[in-house]
Amino acid sequence: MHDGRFETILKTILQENPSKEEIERRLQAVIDEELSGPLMDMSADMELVQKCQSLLWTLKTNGAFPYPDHAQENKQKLLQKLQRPASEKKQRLVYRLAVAAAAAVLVLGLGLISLRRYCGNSTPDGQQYIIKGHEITTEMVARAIAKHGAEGQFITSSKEEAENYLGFEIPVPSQLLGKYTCDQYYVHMLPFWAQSVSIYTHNELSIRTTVYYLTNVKDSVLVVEQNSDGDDYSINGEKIYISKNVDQTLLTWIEDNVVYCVSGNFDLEQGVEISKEIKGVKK
Amino acid sequence: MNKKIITVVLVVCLLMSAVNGLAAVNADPEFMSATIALGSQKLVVYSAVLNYEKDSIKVVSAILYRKLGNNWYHVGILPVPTNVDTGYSYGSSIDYSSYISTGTYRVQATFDADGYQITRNSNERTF
Repeated sequence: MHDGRFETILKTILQENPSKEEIERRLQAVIDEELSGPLMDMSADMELVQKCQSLLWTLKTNGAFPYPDHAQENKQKLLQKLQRPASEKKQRLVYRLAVAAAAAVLVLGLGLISLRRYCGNSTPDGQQYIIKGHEITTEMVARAIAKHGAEGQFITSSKEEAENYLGFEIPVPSQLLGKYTCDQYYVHMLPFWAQSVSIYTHNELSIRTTVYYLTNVKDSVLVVEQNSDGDDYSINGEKIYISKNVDQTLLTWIEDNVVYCVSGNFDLEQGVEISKEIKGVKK
Repeated sequence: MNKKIITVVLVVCLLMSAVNGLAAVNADPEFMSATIALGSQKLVVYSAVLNYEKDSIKVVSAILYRKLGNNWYHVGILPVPTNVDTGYSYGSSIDYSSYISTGTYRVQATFDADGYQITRNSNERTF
């Protein structure tokens, strides 16, 4: 635990009077440090993380929106869920997870912190998760948008065709969980980003993997639907936002200038496995 | 002035706990994502991803709001993109520079997927 650490951080900031960007950088550094450990080692001080996220949210919105705080309650719910027997887990619908806050889609032109960083926040009512992006070199994406921006929706069943259209690789596998196979690709070229939606199907179920390739950080805003819950989790040392939208589980994370959103009727364990398969992490 | 604002925010945070601002449920069974991105050049990008395959996905209405103090005021009805997409995703953009002057604005739009509709707000932006 880090008793009084948040207050110490605030007092130091008040004494040193740094720029807004520096304050946001320091807060994000604390958050990243706490969340850098494995998911289950319980070493992260979630209270400190929530206070820093709350202040970061307040700074980015100029205090216009209150910050919903459910992190500790939701973390306990998650841990209780993971400790239940496997048979009970299979019978359960998508598990409601804890709340987080971020700026979306996230990431917006509110004085972003640094390159290759992101900030995500839930809306005041907790019903949408907004991710904001940060400026990162995106020449390939910009060229694709310039070439195809006026053409509208592109649909194909071939990943190769979709990648030829984009001009770069779609960073998702052809199969998920050993049984869902991707058979449809939808591509849009938009002024602020390009997006590809890969549809994986198995029997009558589907998993949708959306990849947003940001090219305009200042103007990029992405919003995903969610219940009032959602939270950041560290999976193999990387941060993933997990939330629920009615009965669908939603995984959201960012790598450089690319935002990944995976949605489907899968549970937390399957979600972790899906994220590993997309990230290419070996078991 | 910015540093004074930051100082006030920090002092308030030292004294207050986080506020729970939950309002009406806004999650959606049909839409995974419904984004209205208001850009710095007054260009708006509309983007949506659906949970189920649709024959028709489109934007059917858009309204411009301006912020005065803490309240939003209706400014007028905006033209909507004409494209209609299919399947699981939608994307379009439209230039609203002739409708937006100085001030803080946001756009409220309604997406329609096979007759199922949701209404969402864009980010706010000050020009």
